Amino acid sequence: MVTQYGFYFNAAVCSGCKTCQIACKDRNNLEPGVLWRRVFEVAGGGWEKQGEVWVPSVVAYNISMACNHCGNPVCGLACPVKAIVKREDGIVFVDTGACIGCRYCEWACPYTALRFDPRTNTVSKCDFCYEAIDAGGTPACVAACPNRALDFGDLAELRKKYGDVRQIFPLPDPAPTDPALVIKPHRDAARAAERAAEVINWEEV
Amino acid sequence: MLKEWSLVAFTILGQMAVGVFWFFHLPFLVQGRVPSFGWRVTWLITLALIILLAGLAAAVSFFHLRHPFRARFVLNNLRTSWLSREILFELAFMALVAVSAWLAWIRAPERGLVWTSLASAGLAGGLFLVSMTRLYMLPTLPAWRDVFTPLSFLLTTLVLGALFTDVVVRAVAGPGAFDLNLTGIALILVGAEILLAVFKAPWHGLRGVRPSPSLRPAGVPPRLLHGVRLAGLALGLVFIVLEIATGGNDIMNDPGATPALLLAFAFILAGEAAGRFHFYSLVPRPEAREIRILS
Repeated sequence: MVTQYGFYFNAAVCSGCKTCQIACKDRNNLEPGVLWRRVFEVAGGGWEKQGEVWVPSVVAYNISMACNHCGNPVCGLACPVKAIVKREDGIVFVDTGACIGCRYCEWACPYTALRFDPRTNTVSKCDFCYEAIDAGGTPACVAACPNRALDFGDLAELRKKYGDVRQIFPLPDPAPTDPALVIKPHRDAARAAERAAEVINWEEV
Repeated sequence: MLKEWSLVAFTILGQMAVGVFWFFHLPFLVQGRVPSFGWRVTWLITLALIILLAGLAAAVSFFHLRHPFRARFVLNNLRTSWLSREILFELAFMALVAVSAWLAWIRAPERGLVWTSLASAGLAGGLFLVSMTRLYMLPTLPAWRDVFTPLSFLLTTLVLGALFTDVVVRAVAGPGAFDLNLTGIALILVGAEILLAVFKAPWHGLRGVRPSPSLRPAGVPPRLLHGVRLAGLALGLVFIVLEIATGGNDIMNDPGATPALLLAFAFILAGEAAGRFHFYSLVPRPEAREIRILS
């Protein structure tokens, strides 16, 4: 039995097409403005002098990010009414029938995975398409990615298969939350901080 | 910017209630006695005002809930949620202050009982403040996980507590009645708060916290809020100095608060509110976006 489901994201092949975002919205019938999976566009850099020549030195890559169904879900620990529940298989979901709409979990989650849904007046977030999972299916985002940049499964298996990187710039420190996430970094990710890269599509995510 | 008004009001009113409770009882605690018969009216009025302040704080906090009727379950997660603990200690503080007021009302002869009630209320108030502070100092919130958060909350408690107590005691019992120079204490505390804001206010302070990598857009509080905070505190400081320099109504010893003291309180309260809006602007919560469908 799976004890902790997780996502794998390959930043090296993600083209930033946002099909995962749209598939998620479609599967979960999300309101306009509510995104459970978001694609962050990271870019930065400038000109660099090499000898007598100025050459462009830029970084640009994408990060597809949803709830990471953390081993230590700080959102659920902070929730005063226990409306955020972790299942035995590690999937963290919001019980919208219990949520009081204080939105404190939005502050607690460093991945900003929790989104306020004006339709229900509660917070909402990726539920790992648990109904599909329970029926032996696949999360909508994983199934939709044309570049196969996303995968899912037992976190232990994902780590065996893809390694154990779970932080690239500008993701937050994973230590407090223990995210169920494995990342294959883009080649630019290591230089992003020194090139003062930033998320350039805040309006979109 | 102003959408967190209910949290601003909740935290400031709650902190002021605790501060008033502490400052009013401090001289009696130091002297090892309960307020005497001559203090009964002032004591009862002060305790009633504390309950009113804490009750108002609790009432406005409902405005930031989208499902307020479900708030009855808010104590469900005392094991891990500082928000649950904050509400528990606020309710305990209010209840224990009410018990103290009742004991004062019936002129309970047992000093031990009165002291137990007062000490428990003071402790519950302290735990309320600690929970309120810890609530924002999560490891995942670097902008708030800084010494500025506890210091600013504590100074708000003490500054507003000292000034409000000063106003009430002067108005009801007279200026010379209290054994503690609350105006002088407020002067020192406001000075400390101005220094804290100048040096440590995140983003606009001279030695504020630095942003770290995040999937959260950087909260850049409007500089105006920082300016209003400093201006409010500075004007309050000026009026406190004026109150001390002119002797207020100490010479006449008539009950009543002077305009200088009331103005000091009003300006400082405005400065505290601006500072608290600045605090909440550091970590903005995304707006629920509305998409207009063009027909």
